[in-house]
Amino acid sequence: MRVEGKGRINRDKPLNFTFDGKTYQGFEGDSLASALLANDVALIGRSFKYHRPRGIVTAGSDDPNGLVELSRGPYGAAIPNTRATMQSLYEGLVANSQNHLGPLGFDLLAVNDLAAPFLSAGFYYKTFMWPRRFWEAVYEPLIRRAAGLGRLSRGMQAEPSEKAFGHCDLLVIGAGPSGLTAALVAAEAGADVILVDENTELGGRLWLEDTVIDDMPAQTWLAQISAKLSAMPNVRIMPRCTVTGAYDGGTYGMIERVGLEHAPSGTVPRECFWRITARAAILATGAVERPIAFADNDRPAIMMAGAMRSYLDRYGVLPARKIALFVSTDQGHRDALALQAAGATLAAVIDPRSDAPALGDYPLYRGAEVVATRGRTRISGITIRDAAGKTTDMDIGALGMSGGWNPNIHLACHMGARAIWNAEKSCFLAPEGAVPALHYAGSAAGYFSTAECFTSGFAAAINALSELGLTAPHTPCPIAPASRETARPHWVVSGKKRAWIDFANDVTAKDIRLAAQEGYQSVEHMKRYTTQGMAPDQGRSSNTTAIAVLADATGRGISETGTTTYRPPFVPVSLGAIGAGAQGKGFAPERLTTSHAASVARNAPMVATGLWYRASYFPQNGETTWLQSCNREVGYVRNAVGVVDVSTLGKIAVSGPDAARFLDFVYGNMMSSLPEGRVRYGLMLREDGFVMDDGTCARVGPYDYVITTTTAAAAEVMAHLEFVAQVFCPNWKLSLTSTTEAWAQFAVAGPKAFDLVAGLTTDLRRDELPFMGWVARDVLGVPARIFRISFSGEEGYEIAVPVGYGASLYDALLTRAEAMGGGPYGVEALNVLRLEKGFITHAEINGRVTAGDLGMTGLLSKKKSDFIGRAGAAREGLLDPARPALIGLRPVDGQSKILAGGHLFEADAKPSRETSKGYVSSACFSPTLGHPIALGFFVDGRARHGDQVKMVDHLRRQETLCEICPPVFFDPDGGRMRD
Amino acid sequence: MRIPCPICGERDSREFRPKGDITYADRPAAEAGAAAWHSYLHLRDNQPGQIVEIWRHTHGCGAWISVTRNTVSHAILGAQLLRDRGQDHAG
Amino acid sequence: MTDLSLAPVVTGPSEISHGAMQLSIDAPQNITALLPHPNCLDAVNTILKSDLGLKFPAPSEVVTNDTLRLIWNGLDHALLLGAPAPLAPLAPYALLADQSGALARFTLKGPDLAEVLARLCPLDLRPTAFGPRRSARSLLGHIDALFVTSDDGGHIEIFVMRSMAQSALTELTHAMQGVAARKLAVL
Repeated sequence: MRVEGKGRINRDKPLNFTFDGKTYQGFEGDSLASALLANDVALIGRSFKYHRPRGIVTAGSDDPNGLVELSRGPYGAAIPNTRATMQSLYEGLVANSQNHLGPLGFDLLAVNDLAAPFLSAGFYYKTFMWPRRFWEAVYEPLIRRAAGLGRLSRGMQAEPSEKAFGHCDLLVIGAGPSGLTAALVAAEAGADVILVDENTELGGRLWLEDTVIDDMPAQTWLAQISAKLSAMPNVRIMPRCTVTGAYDGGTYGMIERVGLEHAPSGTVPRECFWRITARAAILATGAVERPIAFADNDRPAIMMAGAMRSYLDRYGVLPARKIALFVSTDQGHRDALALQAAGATLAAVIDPRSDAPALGDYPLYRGAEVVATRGRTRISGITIRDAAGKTTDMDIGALGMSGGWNPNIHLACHMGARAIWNAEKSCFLAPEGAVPALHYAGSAAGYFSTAECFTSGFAAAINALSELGLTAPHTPCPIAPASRETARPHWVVSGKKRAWIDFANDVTAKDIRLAAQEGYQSVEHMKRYTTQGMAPDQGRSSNTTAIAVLADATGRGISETGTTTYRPPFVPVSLGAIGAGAQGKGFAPERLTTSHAASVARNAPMVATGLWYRASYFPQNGETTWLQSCNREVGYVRNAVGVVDVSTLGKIAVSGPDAARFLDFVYGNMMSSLPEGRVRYGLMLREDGFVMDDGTCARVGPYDYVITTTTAAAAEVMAHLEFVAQVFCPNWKLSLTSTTEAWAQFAVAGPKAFDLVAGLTTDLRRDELPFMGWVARDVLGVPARIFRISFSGEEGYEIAVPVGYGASLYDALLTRAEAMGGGPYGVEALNVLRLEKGFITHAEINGRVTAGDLGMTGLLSKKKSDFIGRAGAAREGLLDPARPALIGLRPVDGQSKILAGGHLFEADAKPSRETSKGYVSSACFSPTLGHPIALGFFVDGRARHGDQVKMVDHLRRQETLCEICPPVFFDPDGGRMRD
Repeated sequence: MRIPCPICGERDSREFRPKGDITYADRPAAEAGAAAWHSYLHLRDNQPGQIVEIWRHTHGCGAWISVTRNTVSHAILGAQLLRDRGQDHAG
Repeated sequence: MTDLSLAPVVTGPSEISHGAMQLSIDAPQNITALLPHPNCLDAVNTILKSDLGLKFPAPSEVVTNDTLRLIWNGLDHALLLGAPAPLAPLAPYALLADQSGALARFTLKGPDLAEVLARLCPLDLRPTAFGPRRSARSLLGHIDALFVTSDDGGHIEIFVMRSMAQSALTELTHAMQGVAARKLAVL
């Protein structure tokens, strides 16, 4: 019910919303929870395990029960497990309750509640063990249907999410009295401050405060300090932000609710996940009120006393006209008075303390407890047992409870620190220095009075400033009158009926005692056995009580029992926010060549090669399979001329007086002897002696070289060369840099390749560009480099032009190639061409092969005293002649498939892991030869040419009898590319 | 995690890539023998506590650096350019 | 005579705006990477000073004369941008690599500069950490990038590999749209 004259809602702006299909009205400034309570909707959902009716318990992010599914209309995916307490109301909001079968008021799964005696702690562990065969057929489907909170919509999230980085000198987490004070002090000292709070506005408990601060009403003081902070250029105020984790190096994770606070628009990001780097931080996260475990304490409209106060002061809402409070804190009495003053009928304040204060005119039951509650879908009455044991029944509409305060110390414990029990303050506190440069203030540090919040916030700021090297300003510490803040924890009311501790996961005091009795006495074991603290709320309101009950059941103290490990996130964070930006094109950057648009225009499927996209093949009319296109493209190169974009190969410029010496050191073979104008194939080893990469090296000047890497290993090779240069020879006079992006490079290959290339230039004679040579020439008027190299086995040229001209040159090359009966080819054909020639790629250079395995020991220079990998390659195991060596394979029947990845066995061996003697690394159909071919490795393979072996692929169920042959299938003496 | 690049200053760890223990920077001489090379290639102490590692400021200036950090406390104790170790180990 | 033409670096318009922010895209010609060899910095500086009136930039520094900018771009690595310049005397002491067209340049300007970049880049972009006329290498989303602030801090140039220009444009567009949409929603 709404109370006139209270709250900070805008009564001029009514908002319509729908809950479970029924339309209600709230106001701007309402949370969904406050709007529902204002409409006397107490039943919000069903509990996780027993499907008991549940309602709102708190007014903050710690609420264990108020989880609803929020619809986002046309913008995809409804959001399950949205906290009604944290969700701002907006016009047209649609929410639905969760976790019930049939209507919320009559949930069919509530039958679980009747079976409760059988569903106690460890139920799943005990029950679903046997009979074993029941597991897959019966138990698992059953559990899966009932398990989980809420449901996924399975729709795409059409609203964007964001992530962002923030930097500051001081991050102040929480904008209550201590956080505000700390932020102002630090800001006035000149620090860059980010002040965050998970509520929609600053103030924290100051909205509920009837005290006087600096001689003015608390709310006036709040308005003044808020205005002052807002006006400071070095202060960034971020409401609706919850810091979710503390990480190394002063980094904090934070979730900001953005578009979720408004009707869906499709453009405003739902949420933004922040990574804030702060040189220092202040934990001013306050404390949450502790429930009391008593019989049937989970009925809707039983909530925290402070939450009742919040709903009244912030939203002008009372949960019922007639209320009672069961409290063991002085603050609970003050809350009772405020509720009474707002018009609530205060039926009783029940305080188990015999010395409880009487702060006003209300029926006070000292030394008494609530021992029973009544009501089906909301509380209708309670039974009070007084100090003398006499019971009284009483009808009420809502019950508030307060059993003490749990400081929100989670962030301080995220880096492994254990919380320490403070017996005097009856709460767990974080040890000092648990997170470097994180200081604690206010209730989070166990200072529960407003006056102490100010002094501790002030002190924390001064400490942080000294760490930041800033001088404390002359800002005075705000002054509030001292207040009595005594509290005595009251954990559990003894009795036989179920007293709930973890409302979110349906764990009772009895469950915890049972766990202890069955041997799960460590707090970590108790947690896993009972699931206490494992719900979305992570037990924020229940952990301390559960520990107290466990301590009692095991006869240990609370201190000795200790807490479980605190881990991020402090509140649930949606995967959509963590993965923001990674949908679709945002998943990984794409590298596009200058021929990309032209290839796509020719309907070429583009295939990812690392981050690069390359044309797979170029389909033509009448072709129905990729193989037809591929075979035709191979024919271009073997018979006329083909053009392929090779810009994706890594290009590295190496220059300087010591460049040649450097190249000798990083390549297995000799590069210093390479004359200008020539190109040489080279093999690079890793230091352990295995092959890292292969490529070419061209000498382009007296001290200047351009080397190429494979597309796949470009980044690895660049990093490796820089490592060698910076670490092994930092004083050698050479430099290197990637020029991959500066050149567009196209291979032109085939019997007509020279004719095509010569037509692009003036005066290019065949004899001035021999195999493995290069020249600088203008190509169609643009300065270019022409290399005579071949990866196809045909006469081949690679033309490199400044990248801006790439698209234009590609068009010109294709026009000319097509006029000569050739055309473009893609990486499918490229692969077939190189396989026919036995040229290797990273399918063969797979990190496990040596130069010897590849038949390339000749590329490991004997003249050089040292090079990368020389010592490694000389190791005995790498020189073993029985190592699998590179071989060619062809099917004995001339047609059966050979599959890359298949294993090789002796023809008469039973194929098993033990008898495998090799494997297939690459395979294709050779249109030139008219049968399948493959490359692979086989034990002592070079000595086995002509032998028959068996290729077996168990996965694809293929077995093919193959003949081992030399790895070069076509033009073995290389005359076609050389002459 | 934040790593203090000697060139760029303190940066988010996402800009860096680790390579492993600092041993890898101390390449044996070519003729140092099998035992030295085996040790260089394969043997690492892997003790908890203070360690020195090789990192590269891959998404920054590109420098190869050594980073001293404590694997227990997670404290980063300093970083140096590897080239400033000064010695030419090669060839 | 040139029969080939220079292609634009991205498909679509080369200038876009969202909310109060504008983005223009090009791939500058006349970029040379300059990498002094070890122990050659003095020689390089002598030539830079006498021939061009420049010096090799310290980390994060941008050095300019009337027509040229020399922008720090990594360890012992600077980019020379502007008019063609006589660089041959540097050749014995440094690697000179023509990077014309190799870098896509995104020039971002408007009042929400810091907000847009905060969505993509882990750099501390506060004026105290990254003032006018500075350069830094970092990430734009997952893309390696060079960030260069203008003399008045009013705009920023972001250089990325040309091949990633389209992806960088996608990232920047999303960030600009998100920031613009927030402002419209009066948050």
